[in-house]
Amino acid sequence: MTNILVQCGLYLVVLLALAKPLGEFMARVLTGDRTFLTPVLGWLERLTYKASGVDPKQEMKWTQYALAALLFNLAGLIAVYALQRLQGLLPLNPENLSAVSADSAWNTAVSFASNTNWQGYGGESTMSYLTQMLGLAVQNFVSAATGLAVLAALARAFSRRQVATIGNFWADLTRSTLYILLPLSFVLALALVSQGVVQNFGPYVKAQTIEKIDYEEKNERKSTQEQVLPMGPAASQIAIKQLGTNGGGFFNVNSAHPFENATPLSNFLQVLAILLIGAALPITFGRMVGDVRQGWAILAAMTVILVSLLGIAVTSEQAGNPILEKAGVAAEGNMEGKEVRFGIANSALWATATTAASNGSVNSMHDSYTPLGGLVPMWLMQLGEVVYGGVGSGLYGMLMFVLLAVFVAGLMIGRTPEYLGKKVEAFEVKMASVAILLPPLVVLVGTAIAVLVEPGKAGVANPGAHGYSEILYAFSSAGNNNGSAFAGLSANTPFYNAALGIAMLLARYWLIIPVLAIAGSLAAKKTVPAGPGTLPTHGPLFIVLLLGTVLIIGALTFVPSLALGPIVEHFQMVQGASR
Amino acid sequence: MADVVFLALTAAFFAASIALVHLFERLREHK
Repeated sequence: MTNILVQCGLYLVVLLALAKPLGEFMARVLTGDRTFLTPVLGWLERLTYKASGVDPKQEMKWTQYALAALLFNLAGLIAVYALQRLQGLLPLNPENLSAVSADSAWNTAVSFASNTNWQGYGGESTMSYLTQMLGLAVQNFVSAATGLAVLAALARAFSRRQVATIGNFWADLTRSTLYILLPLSFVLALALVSQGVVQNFGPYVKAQTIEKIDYEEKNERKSTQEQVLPMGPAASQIAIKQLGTNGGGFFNVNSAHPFENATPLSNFLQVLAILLIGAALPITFGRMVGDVRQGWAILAAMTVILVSLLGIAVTSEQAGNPILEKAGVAAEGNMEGKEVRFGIANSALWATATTAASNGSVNSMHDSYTPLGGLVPMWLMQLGEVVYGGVGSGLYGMLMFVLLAVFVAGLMIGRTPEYLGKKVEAFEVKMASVAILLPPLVVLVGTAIAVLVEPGKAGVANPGAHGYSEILYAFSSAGNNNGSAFAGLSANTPFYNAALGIAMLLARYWLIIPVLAIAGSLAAKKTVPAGPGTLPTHGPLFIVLLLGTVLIIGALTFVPSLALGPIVEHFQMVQGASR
Repeated sequence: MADVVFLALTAAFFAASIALVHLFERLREHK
């Protein structure tokens, strides 16, 4: 237990220590100030504007900002779709991989454009190097930058007074990519290469195994002494996959693959990268609105939820499966589906971090977790991924809960609620409600349809409560733009590719629209000075109120559904052990 | 054929999204 506490504690200390400097740096970038990177990358920023005909000083109304974001993402989606469908004719395809099927290509294009990175395919057996680099990795950057841009627009709206504009989408997108995502990814990619993560353009390597391997293919027993080792430009893609909270693996088993996550140090760096930008953004927000205490309060609320749920995940996995223990076949704790080199603590920590963020990469198989251990990542996604959350999207999601919390507080004391000097009125509360309620609607309706129709049930690998959990997890992942899979579910089918694709589209873009509408509304308002009746939003009382809002909405919305899956499975496990 | 279906679905979604932007703007103006 001491070992677990030290590992998880070290992680949190390093993460929170980096949050302040990175958060302040990002605030300078998003407000257009000069940073230490301006002399290095300023020319590239100016060249980008010049080449694309953008005037970065041209301010946009929220409607223009939203349309720019939507059309940019649409273009990216179509480009990734076309790359996959045409990859057989394109270069950088040493394995001669053929075109991806239409339904899988569409699902993947939606998935990467929306920062979800749900993967119904296996990377090494499906995608050419060109598709991985020019399609998927580029979307990893720009989808994360879209999230940062939307957050920047919202933060700007709080600090502006009676103006109709919220910034320039193209400038926010460019600055986020050039000054935040690219430099961090460059440094992380080099660190990963130093640990043995592959980065090359060579063909797959055939290795001779020491022992003969027996296997079955089409009901025929075969044996071989040859193993194919996939190669490719993995490190560069993995760096942004973690930093951009994308999560799509270069290889099928994601960060459990030794070429994608080679050593304990690469594991630590990657799990740190998953939450790094999300943890720093509340500080960025605090700086941008001129009161950094506001950012610390939000960060504190996020950290309380993260640490609490991390504790449940680690203790559940450490406790293991009592049925197996009773039968005398289990070692201490639940090691099924986990890499021995990472162990329980680093697997549970990763599972918690990846679903707290909208990351979705995995270094263990969540389907093999104990029922309560599996409930934690599922519920973290269902809370809306606001515990640090996705790059930009986590914080703007949390700010929707903040608006709701101040609205509830205002109702309690009979005053018009305010946040950061802006009156929160009916329009903002309606838009925040849309943003908060849409993902649960998508998740619950999607799950209900999938358990009712044959194509939905056909993908389930396990009967009963666990099979239900597999479907609920898939829609929770797609409907909150996470992208992790419970495994077990055969999701590369036309039904799941289409249904989960629609869920990802709705969860991403129909959240961005009300968030930007709130930004437009707030920017147009006066700022009112704090009075004696103003609720302080930087103290412990507000943190508790915010926690209550997030957890009560999360519980009310999803506990009935969780009761049919992981909760009943937990009781079945306990009952099985007592027989 | 499948390409046309998925591209049409994409176009329909983004057209609906643009309509949603205008709907919310009208809501904001008339609040």
